[in-house]
Amino acid sequence: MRIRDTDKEQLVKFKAIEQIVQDGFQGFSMNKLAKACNISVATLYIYYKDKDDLIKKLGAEIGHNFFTNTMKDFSPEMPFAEGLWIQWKNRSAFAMEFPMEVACFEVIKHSPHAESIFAESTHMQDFKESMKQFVINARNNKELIPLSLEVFWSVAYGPLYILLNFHREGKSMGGIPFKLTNEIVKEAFDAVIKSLTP
Amino acid sequence: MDTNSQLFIFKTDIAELCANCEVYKALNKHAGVQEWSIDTDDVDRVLRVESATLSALEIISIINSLGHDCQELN
Repeated sequence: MRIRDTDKEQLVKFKAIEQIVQDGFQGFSMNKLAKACNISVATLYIYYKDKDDLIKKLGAEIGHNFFTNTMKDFSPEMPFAEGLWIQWKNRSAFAMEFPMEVACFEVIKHSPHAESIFAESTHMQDFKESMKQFVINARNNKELIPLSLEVFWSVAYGPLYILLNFHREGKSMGGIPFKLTNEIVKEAFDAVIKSLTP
Repeated sequence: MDTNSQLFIFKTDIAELCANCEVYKALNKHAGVQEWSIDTDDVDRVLRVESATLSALEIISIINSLGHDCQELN
C-alpha cells in the first residue's frame, strides 16, 4: 500500500513550482521533478496522474490562494478609491510573499490548462463577479470615468504590476537598483486614482 | 480513493493510448480496476491502477498478455 506523505507532497509542490518557473511548461517533466525531489518516479505518481494533472492541481491551488488573499477585507460595495487601495495592498502583499507562486501562476495562465482551471474554480468565479460589481458600483456612483475594460484594467493595476516586476528583478529601467516601498506604492496609487476619477 | 483500494504504479512501454486500444478496453472493463491512467508523455509511460482486489502481479500479467512490458515501480 502506498501512503501519502504530507512533507513530501509539500516538497514536490515547491520543486514543481521552481521547475515550471525556470524551464517553462514545456521543459518541465515528471522525471526531472522526481530527481529534483530525490524521490522515485513512482512516489510522484502517488500524488499525480501525469504532468497535466500536476499542473492543473498546482494552478488551482495557487489560484485559490491568490483569490482568497485578494478578497481579504474587500467588498465590492466599498467606495472606489478605498476598494482599489485594498486590492493594491492585497495583490502586492501576495506577490511579495509568494513570488515563485506568482511567477508559476503566470506560466500556467498562459498554458493550455488555464481555461479548465478557471472554469472549475468557484473562487475564480466569485472573484470575477466581485471585481465586476465593484467597477459597476464605481461607475454608478460617478467615482470612475467611463473606460473600456482593458484600458480600465491596464490603468488600474498595470502600474502596480510593473513596480512589482521592478522589485522582483531588483532594478528598474536601465538597471537602476530598485526596491518597492510603501511610499512608492502610495505615490503610484495616487496617480492612478487621479487619472481614473472624474 | 476508496479506503480498501490500493494504488499500484508501473513502468510500461505503452506509448499510445486510444479508446480502441486493447489496454484501454481491458482496464476499462475489468471489474477489479477502480481507476487507472497512463502517462504516455513520460519516458516511463507510467501506469497507475487503483484496485481493491488485484495484486501487482495480476496487473502485470494483464498488461503482459496484451503484448506490453510492465514492471512495478518502487
